[in-house]
Amino acid sequence: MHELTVPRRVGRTSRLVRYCRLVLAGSVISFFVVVALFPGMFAPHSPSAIITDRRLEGPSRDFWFGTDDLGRDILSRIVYGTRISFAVAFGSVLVTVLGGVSFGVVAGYFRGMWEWSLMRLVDVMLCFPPYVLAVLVVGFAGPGILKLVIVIGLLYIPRMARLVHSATLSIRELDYVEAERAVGAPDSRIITRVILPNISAPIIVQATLMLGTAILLESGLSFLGLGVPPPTPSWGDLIGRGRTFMTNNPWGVVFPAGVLTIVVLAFNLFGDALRDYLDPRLRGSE
Amino acid sequence: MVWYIIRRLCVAVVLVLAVGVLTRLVLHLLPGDPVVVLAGIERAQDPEVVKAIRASLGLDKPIYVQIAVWVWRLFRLDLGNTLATQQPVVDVIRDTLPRSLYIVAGGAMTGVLVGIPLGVTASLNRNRWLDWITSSVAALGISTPVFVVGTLLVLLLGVKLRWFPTSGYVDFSEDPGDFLRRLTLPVATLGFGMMAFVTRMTRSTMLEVMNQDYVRTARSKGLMESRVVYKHALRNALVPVVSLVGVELGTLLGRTVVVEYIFNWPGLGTMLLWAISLRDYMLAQGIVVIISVLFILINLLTDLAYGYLNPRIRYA
Repeated sequence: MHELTVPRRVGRTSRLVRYCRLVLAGSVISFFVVVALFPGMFAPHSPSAIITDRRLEGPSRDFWFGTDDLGRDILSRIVYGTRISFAVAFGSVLVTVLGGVSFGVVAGYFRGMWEWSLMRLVDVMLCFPPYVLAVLVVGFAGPGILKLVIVIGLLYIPRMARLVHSATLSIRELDYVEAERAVGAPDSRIITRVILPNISAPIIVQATLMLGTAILLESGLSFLGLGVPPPTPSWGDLIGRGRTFMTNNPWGVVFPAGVLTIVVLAFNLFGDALRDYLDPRLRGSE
Repeated sequence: MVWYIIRRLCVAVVLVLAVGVLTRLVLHLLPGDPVVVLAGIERAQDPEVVKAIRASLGLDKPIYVQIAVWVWRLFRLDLGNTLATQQPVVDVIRDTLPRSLYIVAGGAMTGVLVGIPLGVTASLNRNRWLDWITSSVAALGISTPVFVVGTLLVLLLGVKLRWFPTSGYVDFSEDPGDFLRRLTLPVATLGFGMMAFVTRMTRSTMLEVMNQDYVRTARSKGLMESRVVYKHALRNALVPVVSLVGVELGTLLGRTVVVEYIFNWPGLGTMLLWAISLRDYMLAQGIVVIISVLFILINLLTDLAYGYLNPRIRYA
């Protein structure tokens, strides 16, 4: 992406709106994190309890979001699906951050042959549309949560590595890095104490935005039946299953789709707001 | 400029080569054995049969030889035969690729044709309700997963209102009207996300450009506001939009896999899912390589277009 360099003057109202957005999106995310940690507190039923004579029902007092084709409570499945989605999202972003930051810093700090080969590898990896590569690898490797974490995490390493690389390049010649070098600090200390803290803002922003992307990718794969293996509840699987019985019970699609969209929206808004807050220079579009 | 194009073409060729190597390597590392697919589990017990099949597929050679042969054939547009039907993979791709491109092209066009006017409108009404609504729709469009958009469109326009058929494909040559009717929902699905990105980008670059000196100059010359907006501001604001559209085209290429799945559209994405379910390695690697090559070409064209539109970029 091309960064737009001319900063716009930000009025007080607009700053307030931004702050509200950060708080609002942050609360939505925190709420879902709590749901993911303690699903038992929120789910009125067991996510796998099958009630055969109450299949494909609309919302009712017993089943707030209705029931699926086997007679399972959709709300409870969404609640437990939160845990899966968040586990995959946070796990894969952890893989991305660990891999991307180490590659990016090594390439940007030590330069030379390492930089050339790592960055050319990144170029090649970026030639694959991530979704297609994910479908291919997960499709052949078979479904499984750990596999999803690793595949999604690996897929986004090139993007993170490129970002960290350019961030490292932009500060490695600055005076305070030079000063550290002049007093004889070893490379390891310069990297961990000087470089990393100073490039943390864009990394945090990128990681937040990637959480939303990872949830999207996981649910997209599960929607195709390639991701989380049933009967484990996952949002993508809920939507994919509900789609088959959509004519009988549209609620089976509408509720999981709504929740998924709200969560992704929250991560995107939070990431954008965080970018404005942490690093105004990186501000692209509102 | 000519040298720049030549150099970029060379880079593109190297990238295609690398993509070919990487795809073959990824499939090599994944679990599973094409021999079992081809011979069935029972016959795969017989070492003679296995040996014969391995030899016929060239799998008895070391992996680097396999990769070299595969990449060499890739450049001669020979992607081998599918394991399931023994058809040349290139033929399968030639039949199905256009169908995917209809959706991608339609989605991109819809996104651009709707997104640019929306973005301009939003920027001209900055911080008023029209801007607020447009920006919210754009934010929603960016965050809504493509399979949610597709499923909800099917639910609303297909199942409830019965305006459009919800699945299947009819060739243009057979029935142009039906072809277009069936194309509408898949295109709308892809177009919605694209529209959101284009709207957001157009809005922010327009806001940026409207503050520039040359816009003030145009105004102070006494030009009509519409002329200032469309002739002076929009033209410049569209340069980054072009590059965004290029990047997003590649994303659309990936998203068609889900869209084709939802609408039962027999394109490249459906073929990929089919190949995966049948464990057809040859077909799957062929499709992934072709999609990535298209991706590389789109990026190349985007960069060239960007350079053409923005003469400030120097080709060193």
